[in-house]
Amino acid sequence: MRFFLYFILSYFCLPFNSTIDFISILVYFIILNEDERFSIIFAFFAGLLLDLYYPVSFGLNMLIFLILGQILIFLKKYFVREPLTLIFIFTTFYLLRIFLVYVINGVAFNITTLISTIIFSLPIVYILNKICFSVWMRN
Amino acid sequence: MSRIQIFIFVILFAISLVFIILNQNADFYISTNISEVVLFPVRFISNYFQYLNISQKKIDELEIELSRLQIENQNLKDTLGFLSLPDTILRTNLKLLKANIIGRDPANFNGFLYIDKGKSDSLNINNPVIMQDKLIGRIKSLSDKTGIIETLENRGFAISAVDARTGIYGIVKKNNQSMFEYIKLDDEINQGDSIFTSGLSEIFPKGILIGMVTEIKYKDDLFFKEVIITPAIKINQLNYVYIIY
Repeated sequence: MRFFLYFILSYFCLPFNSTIDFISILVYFIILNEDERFSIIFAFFAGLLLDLYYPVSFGLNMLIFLILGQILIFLKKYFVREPLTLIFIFTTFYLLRIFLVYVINGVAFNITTLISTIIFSLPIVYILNKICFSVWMRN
Repeated sequence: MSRIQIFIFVILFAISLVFIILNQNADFYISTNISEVVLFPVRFISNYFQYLNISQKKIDELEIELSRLQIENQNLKDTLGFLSLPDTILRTNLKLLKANIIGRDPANFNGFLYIDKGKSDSLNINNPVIMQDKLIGRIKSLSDKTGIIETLENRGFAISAVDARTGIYGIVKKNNQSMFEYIKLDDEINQGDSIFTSGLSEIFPKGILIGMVTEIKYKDDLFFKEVIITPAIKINQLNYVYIIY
């Protein structure tokens, strides 16, 4: 049921992803909370959705999400789930994604989206935790 | 990291790498075909919102048309003699603009309404404001993007009016209550009579419903009786209005 919700959310938020990058936040949340196989498949799927809806170079988002997702899966065992740590890791993850997808390819990117995504990432992660696991933050 | 995990990663990595390496034509062909399936829900949702948006625009257009036709109908009734009003110019080509109410004056709740249309929408001060064929008031002041409507609930608002049944002219004025003033003691006027704009003003076109006569009082006045009317529309229930311009 939870997995079903992730797919519904990703489809529902895709048209508004240029305002707040909800897909990146959702991928980050899933990597933190779900098992490794589902996380990596979902990261790939999220990349596919972005490649199809906001095309830059077909396959690039998939690849970046796959690699960054895998790195996060490795790292998640080693960090504590505190607000500052979570926001720092998300910011690094997100900035790397933006750099690799947009900056290297010389594609214009809206700085407001970047700022609002980073600002809203932590509240959204908390809300998703509350919806999916009935707690504000899992340890 | 289990073997299955490595296997999944390698497969997905290879797929995305192939997509990147492929030439543009192949990419376009593949992405078009995949998006037909993968993006179907998104397309379905956005089509639905688009449908709602178009429907709302259609409703707005029909409401404008309805308001125009109701006023036109009223004018046509007048010319056919249903009402004993003097002839006035038929206003069959009224231009109407829908405006949303964005605020109310808290000190005078129904007296003034704030709307989201202004000078930039070709509006002018004193443009009449209606809802369907019922009078709301007139534009009091305008900025570029917003405007203030003085409604007939505002104390001191006055307008030339006529009783539709008898053709008796008077002035509708808001004091403590909305009054139909300057009605002589021997003028025949009954409860339930409809009061319309008379058209004897440069501001308001003829035939817009103002309200109904609800009470008639005889006071010490030697010449006039007191006719109380109830406005045809409740100002505090409005979300939007139409402006004749």
